[in-house]
Amino acid sequence: MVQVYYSVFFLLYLPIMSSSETNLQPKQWVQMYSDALYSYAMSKTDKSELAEDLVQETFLSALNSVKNFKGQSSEKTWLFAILKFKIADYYRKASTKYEFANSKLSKDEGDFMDNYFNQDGEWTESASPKSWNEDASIALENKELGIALNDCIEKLAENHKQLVLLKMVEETETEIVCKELNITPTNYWVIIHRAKLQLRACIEKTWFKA
Amino acid sequence: MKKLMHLIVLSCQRASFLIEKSNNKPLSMIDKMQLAWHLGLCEKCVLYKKQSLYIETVLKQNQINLTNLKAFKLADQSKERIKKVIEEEITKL
Repeated sequence: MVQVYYSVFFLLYLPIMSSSETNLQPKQWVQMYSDALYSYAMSKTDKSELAEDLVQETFLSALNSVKNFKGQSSEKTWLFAILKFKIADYYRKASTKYEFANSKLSKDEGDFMDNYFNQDGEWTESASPKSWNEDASIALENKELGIALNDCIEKLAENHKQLVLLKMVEETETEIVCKELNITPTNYWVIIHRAKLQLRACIEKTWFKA
Repeated sequence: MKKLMHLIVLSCQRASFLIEKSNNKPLSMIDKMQLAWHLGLCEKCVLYKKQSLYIETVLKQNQINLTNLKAFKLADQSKERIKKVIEEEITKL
């Protein structure tokens, strides 16, 4: 429900955000923008069918809010704004599929953390951060590092993964994400913390010391 | 004894939790002070903080790289299909 409100408001406000005369040419959209929109969607989702669907949905949403579109700073900007919203919406829905059972999370928290911290809450020998041998700023240029990190994300538990991806594609206020996913802010941070512990350990193992 | 000490200077578990939180939003005054104390004493957590921020940067960088470097083309079939969908939708309006 929240999502629906969100989307209605978003589309209503879009035209106000842009300015000057109306000049939409829906029949030209596919020819003019579909590749750019598709590339963007691919970069965010990496699944061709999904990206194609998102592009189509973007055009349809745009068509249905054409009458609200009083002007345009740029037709392209407007379509991209809608696409970004569609992508975020996709991740939001994907996340809600997994139950974030709040009580269960705190119960198995201990077991998970045993891998990383001892009873006193100190780093265990195996999990304690080691200094990375590679010059970090050089490695930043390296696209393979990004790929290695993506592989690490793939290894996360499904609900952790979705949350990390959602956090990445959309810099939404934590509070809004929590409301939509129906998790408490504390558990949100617990999940991010867990995911990050795993990502750090994974990239250390696979990249910096392999 | 250690438990008591951790009340003041935090455990590494708690400290790393606060580091994650602080990457994304401002901490409360008490959390901030306690984390600063802890980081003053614990090299491992200093390292963790550095690496954690580094991972965030790589994740962001990755997004930018992907957006800038890869151009995809939608298949012609798909374009034709979407065109038809749009035209149908226009007649409905």
